[in-house]
Amino acid sequence: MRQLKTKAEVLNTTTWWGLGTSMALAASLSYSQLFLASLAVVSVILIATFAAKGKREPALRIYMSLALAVVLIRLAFRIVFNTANPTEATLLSLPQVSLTIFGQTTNYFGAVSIQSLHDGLTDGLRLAAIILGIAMANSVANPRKLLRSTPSALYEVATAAAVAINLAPQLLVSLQRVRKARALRGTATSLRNLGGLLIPVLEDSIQRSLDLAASMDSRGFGRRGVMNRRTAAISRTASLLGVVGLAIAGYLLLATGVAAWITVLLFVLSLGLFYTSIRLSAIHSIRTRLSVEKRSWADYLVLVFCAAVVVAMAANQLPGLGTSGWLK
Amino acid sequence: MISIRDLTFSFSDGESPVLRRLNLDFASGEFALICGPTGSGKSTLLRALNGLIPHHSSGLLSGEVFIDGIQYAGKQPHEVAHLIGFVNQQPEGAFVTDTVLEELAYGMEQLGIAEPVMRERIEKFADLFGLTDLLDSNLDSLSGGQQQRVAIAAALIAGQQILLLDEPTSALDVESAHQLLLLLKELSRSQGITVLLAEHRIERVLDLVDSVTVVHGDGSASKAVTSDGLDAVLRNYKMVPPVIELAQKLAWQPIPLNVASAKSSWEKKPGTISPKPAAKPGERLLSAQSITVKYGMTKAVSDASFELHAGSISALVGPNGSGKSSLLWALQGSLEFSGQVLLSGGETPANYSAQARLKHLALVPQNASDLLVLGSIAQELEDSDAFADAPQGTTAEIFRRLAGRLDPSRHPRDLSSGQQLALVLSIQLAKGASIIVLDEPTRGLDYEAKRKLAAQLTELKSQGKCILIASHDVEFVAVVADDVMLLRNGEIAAKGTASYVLPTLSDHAPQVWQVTRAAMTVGEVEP
Repeated sequence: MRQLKTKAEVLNTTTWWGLGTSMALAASLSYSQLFLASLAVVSVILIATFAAKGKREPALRIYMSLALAVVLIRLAFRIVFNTANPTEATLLSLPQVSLTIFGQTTNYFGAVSIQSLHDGLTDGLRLAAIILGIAMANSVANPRKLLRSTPSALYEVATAAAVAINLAPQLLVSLQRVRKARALRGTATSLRNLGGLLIPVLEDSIQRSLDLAASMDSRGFGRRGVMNRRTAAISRTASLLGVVGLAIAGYLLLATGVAAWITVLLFVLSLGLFYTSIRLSAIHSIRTRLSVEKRSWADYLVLVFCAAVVVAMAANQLPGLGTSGWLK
Repeated sequence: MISIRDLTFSFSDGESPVLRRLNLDFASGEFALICGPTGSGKSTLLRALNGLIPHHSSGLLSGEVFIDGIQYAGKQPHEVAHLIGFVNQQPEGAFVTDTVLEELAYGMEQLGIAEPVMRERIEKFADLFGLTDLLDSNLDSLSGGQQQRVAIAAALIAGQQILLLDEPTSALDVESAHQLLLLLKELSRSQGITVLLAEHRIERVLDLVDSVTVVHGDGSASKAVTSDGLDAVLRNYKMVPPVIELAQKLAWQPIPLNVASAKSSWEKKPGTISPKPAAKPGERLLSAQSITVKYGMTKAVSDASFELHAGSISALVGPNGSGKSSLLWALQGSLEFSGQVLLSGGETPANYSAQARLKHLALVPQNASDLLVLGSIAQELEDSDAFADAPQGTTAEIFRRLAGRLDPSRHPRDLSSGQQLALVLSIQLAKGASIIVLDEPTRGLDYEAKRKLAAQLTELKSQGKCILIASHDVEFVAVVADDVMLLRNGEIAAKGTASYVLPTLSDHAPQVWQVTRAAMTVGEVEP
């Protein structure tokens, strides 16, 4: 067996990202608190086990506090922007405040039902599980590595992704630096100067992300072989339509009242477009590899399992297809 | 090799061009220095050559760039990637991968070089650049000098014949910078690589390069080969390194480009030296006893003891990683250390709250602009007064004395690095601290800005402030510092007056000292 340099190398980079996005997808499709909570816990365990040593503690601290904050904010919303439903059991009776702004009356506080808090908790857990799923992939497998294996058909998308993906970790680095510097001025971080804190942080992070994109371009990223104009145009249009199609299909999946077969058809069509675009540019790709990160049986096992869970849950969402209600 | 014809660039329509109808030629294997004040268009010129301008910034580019007779201006960077390698100021921000091996391979992978060829090249380049033992290392575990070597190797490994470098030594200490420049010289001489180096710190570069191109900042540029005609080009260029300043002052002909030839000029036509009067140290404001800073098991600073006095400027010098910054942050009190720091009243800064500390000691960090948070200079100044409980206009007055009158409605981010530094310095001074600590204040400043900073620090000194700077800019230290502490591996290897410590740096001693063996700065020499 190959010598593993890091624990994360048991799986391929793409597998980690596949796992992370599947967990996020599954979370966005689930209403079960138990399932969502276990997704979150699994992500945390994976980070704790597989993330590189120096990265582990900060990643856990930041992403876990973010997840917790999301849950708490969701619950707080349910209490503040309350719509009391007399049919539900009341847990907490707060004085109701009605405010009329621009002729519109909104009620704040009032009786808070168990059901309302329960729904709030589910919403919060779902977001937390999504955040932790992506955070897991991000901290275990380097996003830049993922980017290296992006097909050249997705050049424009990939450059944008390079900028975006690099932004989050860079934000953390810049934030730490700027906060340390700001402490020198003796100014406490209050809401008033939050903008002042964000501007240098954002400026710095965005600049660094753009530098990365410039560097990749200077090194030849995005170069392709001779491809005639027509093929290039077809390839580009196909990938663009694919993205739009996927976005619409994703929306349809969550929306109600659209026949299931339309959603499924759109999914299949979009994936087909993507595949065409990638195949087309693969013919003209000139890129070579020094060492290919090989996929093992474990990778395929994880990916197949992920795909199965996501497909099953998506099917469950579609009216007329899933009736079993498992995982719901 | 490279022919630039009528190259014009402006950031937007109607704005005066940064580069105006430039015509320049660079021969194959030429080692060319491109210098000019900050913002004069050095980077713009380099970026226009490899397509980063206009493709990674907005602006209008016209004119032609021929490489071996083929027109490339306006092409995308990846379309010229096989011809031109580009190396940035901060390599760590430009690395695309995690390890040295992957980084070396990246460019070749994009250009479609076959795997066996890649392996062969990597072996050859690792050998050439001294990276063989580092191939499996993570890029972020390397020193600044090593990172720059990786960046250069990666920029040339696919067979590129042109290397563009944008201030590659700005983050390096003197020794690493010197090694890097020698490497570049070697690449141009023995490998025939055309090297275009943009730098504003040129004292150690001039005698290595074949030509000097001065970008004037008004859109024009003039070029001269170093063996002939350099005098004329540099005469109009006010920002020259100490050796040349000395030569101009003593009217040496021709202008010597390195210390060795300056020495012989000195023998033929010496000047008279009137040494700077020794500073009379004022009251002791801080005493540090056996400061030790540890990061886990590694000692960043060990057993450092010294005193700082009112009305004096002290400098911490030493290579990167020798513990300069750690020592400063320990003094300031936000880094844990063992040992003792006592202020004149017998208190310890670390025991104060961050706010109370500022009444005694203020630190200006490397990225000074991080401290600027508001939308205009006026707001920053007012905020600072309010925060310091000082009468209105206090900070504004300090700032005016340091930086002159500036339009108060300007956004701090639009100021030059030197002006930003002055603004931060004013804010940090507003609370009345008597000890000012600056970490690498000259980083990113050109000669003019450095001269202003030196004047500002001297002004503060005459007001009785106690100033400590950490810097690897020996020439700057020679100009401002009364006392110098040399740090090596976290220990104070030498301390004393500047004229006592700086000569011990031998090859890295101030150039004027190397020439005259007595004076530290041009100011001490008269014809």
